[in-house]
Amino acid sequence: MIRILVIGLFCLGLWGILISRSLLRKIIGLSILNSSVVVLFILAGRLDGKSAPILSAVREGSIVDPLPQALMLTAIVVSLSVTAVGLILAVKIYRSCGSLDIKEIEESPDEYDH
Amino acid sequence: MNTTIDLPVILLLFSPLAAAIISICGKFIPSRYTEWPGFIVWIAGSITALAAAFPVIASGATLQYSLGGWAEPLGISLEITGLTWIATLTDIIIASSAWLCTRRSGQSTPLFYFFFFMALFSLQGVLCTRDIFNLFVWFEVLSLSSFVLISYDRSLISRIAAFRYLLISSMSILLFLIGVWILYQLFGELGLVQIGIKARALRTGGSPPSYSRAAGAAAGLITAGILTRAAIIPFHTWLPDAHSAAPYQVSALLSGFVIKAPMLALWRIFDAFSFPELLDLLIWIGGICALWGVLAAMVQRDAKKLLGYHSVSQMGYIIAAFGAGSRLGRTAALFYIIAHALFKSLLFLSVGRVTVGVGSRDVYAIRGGARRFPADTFFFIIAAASISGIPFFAGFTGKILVTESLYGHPVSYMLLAAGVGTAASFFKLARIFTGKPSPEEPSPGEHGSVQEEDTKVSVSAFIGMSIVAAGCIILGAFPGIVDRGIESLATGSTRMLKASFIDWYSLSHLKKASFSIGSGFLLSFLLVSGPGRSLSHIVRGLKTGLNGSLRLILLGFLVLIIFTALSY
Amino acid sequence: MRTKTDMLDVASRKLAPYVLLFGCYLISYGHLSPGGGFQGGVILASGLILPALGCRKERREDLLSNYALSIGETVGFIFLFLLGIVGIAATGTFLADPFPATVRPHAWFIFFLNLAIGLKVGAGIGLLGLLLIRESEEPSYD
Repeated sequence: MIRILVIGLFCLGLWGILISRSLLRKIIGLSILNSSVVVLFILAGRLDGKSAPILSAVREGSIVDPLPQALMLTAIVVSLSVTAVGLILAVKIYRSCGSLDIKEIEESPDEYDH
Repeated sequence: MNTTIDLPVILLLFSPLAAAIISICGKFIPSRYTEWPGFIVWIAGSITALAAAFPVIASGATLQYSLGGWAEPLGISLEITGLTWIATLTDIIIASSAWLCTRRSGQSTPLFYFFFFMALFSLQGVLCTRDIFNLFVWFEVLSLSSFVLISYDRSLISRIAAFRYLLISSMSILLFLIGVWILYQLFGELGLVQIGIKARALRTGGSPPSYSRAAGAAAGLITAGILTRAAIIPFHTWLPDAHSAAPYQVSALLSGFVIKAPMLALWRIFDAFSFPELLDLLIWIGGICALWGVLAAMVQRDAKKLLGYHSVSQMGYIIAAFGAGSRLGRTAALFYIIAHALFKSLLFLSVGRVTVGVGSRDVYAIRGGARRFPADTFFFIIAAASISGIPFFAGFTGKILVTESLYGHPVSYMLLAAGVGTAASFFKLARIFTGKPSPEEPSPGEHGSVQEEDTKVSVSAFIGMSIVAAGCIILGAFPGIVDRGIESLATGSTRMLKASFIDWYSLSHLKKASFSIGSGFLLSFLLVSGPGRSLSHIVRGLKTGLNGSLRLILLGFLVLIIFTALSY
Repeated sequence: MRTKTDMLDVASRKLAPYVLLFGCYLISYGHLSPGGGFQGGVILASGLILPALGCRKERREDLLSNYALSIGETVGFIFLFLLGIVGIAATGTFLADPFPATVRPHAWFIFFLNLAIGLKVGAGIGLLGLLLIRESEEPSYD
């Protein structure tokens, strides 16, 4: 069931990046893609029915695998930074170009090709 | 596993970080006190660490360092191998030359140096790490620094280029991460060595075929993610825009080393996995990459985009040599990595200074640079001779090594054709320096940056560029000595070859070189003629936009994954 | 051009201290419950951004200027680096735990790391958000 969620989020993010024409939607698509990979990794910890990974709690049954959670913390930080840089670049492009549409940006006369 | 603590590793890794911290303090104290100290801290720390590491490397061992005192497999450890050692040495030469060239330009602000040194810090991390997720982290720090450095001159083109690079590299690194997920699900390990042991056991043992498919798919995802960073066809579309829009010192560092470090990481990963079918595919990918890059480079009008497409093409040589898989192939790949780093950064520095001084990047419009920029002309000649494969320069040795390692393979003919095209496009580029200077009218549409720069080269820039040029000449004029040293570093063995088994200046090699250069010379006349220019204009118009290149990359990923999953 | 209503203005200004408090809680209890340096830092940043988003420009009491946040970010970074160096001085490896094993509670080092990261992240992301908001109000065509 939750695999469907992961695959759905992944496809949504890919759709946003590949098909959207607005820069902002591409960044949102990237962020959704990141979230899907994060959920995918957390699932690798096999969460059902286990307790938190703290040493005193080990007595009752097994613990959740904490390694993917630590990895994904790093991945979330990285994705946040990349999203931030992407947003700032998009804002600056918008100020110079007047549009967020990728086709208009690429055809704008500032491209050095004539 | 033991928790070994070899201090040179941590010194090597943290010198650029310390330099970055010193540079960022330039926000609060006058930046006069932070620029040279930062540079000196980085150079001194790195060279001390390399010197301290040399005895251990020369005896064939490696230095390791466990972060936080946690041994593998619980913790992350860093390692200096022979490969790391020589790559770091090359990196120091290129980066110091690029830094010295920033001295009197508009780039010497504290924030620029901070990101410059953070890029160097993450490059060291990529070279030293032994853990695949740690590799992801270093890649991302590297790319974040690159985004800032590429868009540093605040022009619209550089921001668009940085944005394109951002989307492409983030998408591909996420697919890389999915590959890491598959590996973690299969093997439960993240260290490269541990993964390699289990992957080899999977290949030889009798495990269910779905496991092999999954491991193959993971290998494909990881390889494709890394190849995107290294700008190989079909994942290369970000590179010409990014490297042409960046300030030229940044382009020198990017083209010189930042696209090589992922290749070296792939090297380490392939040392862990063993996947001969993928290596065969890499030879073909390398050949196509070399040819395609050169074809695109020949028709370019923007001088820096021409150099950018050449980076793509030369990376094809490196990948093809690496894919050969043999001892000679690995030596060739490592030699070409070093040689290309040296001459490409020298090209960017010299051509960059000229384009900034004149105010335009148009190859057809700029003439007569030799009179205004004599020092840059001298360095350009050395670098262009290297890349075209003229004897006694670094590229000659490199191309011989590469073609010898691929002897008889059809790809070697593609590389020969690429050599012709390389020579042609550099004769075309050399027109910037020949002829009479045109009147002071740069063509319309040059990038609107506010760099002020003298046309006379500063002392520090001259020193920097001459060190790199000396490297090009040494690698070319003394092939035997370097060949033996590099061979042992590339293959990790301790015994050096007694005598050079390649006859460097044999008649066939000289014939091939003169054929390439001669036909390239003739072809260049065709390129700058009238019909040649219009044809170039048509071919240039065929480039893909951002959406198109993203879809192309995804298609490339799919094809590669299907191939690797079915053949593991 | 719609202006921000009084209710929005008052609510955001009154809620901001509680958000900041929650962020500090997350940072301090990171070793026991879900939370930690990065998560608490991001909540701190959102506590800084909330008044900027909700209040009208003329009634805004800016909590911190851009320069102060920039210094806070750099100080957090240097503090984190120094913690790693302390590890080298104590046991020889970077980011090793310098406290002896008999100290109670055992998580002192994790607490300091969380503090450093929380400061850095909070200041950094707060600065980012505030710059974007101020840029949207007075656009700079740079």
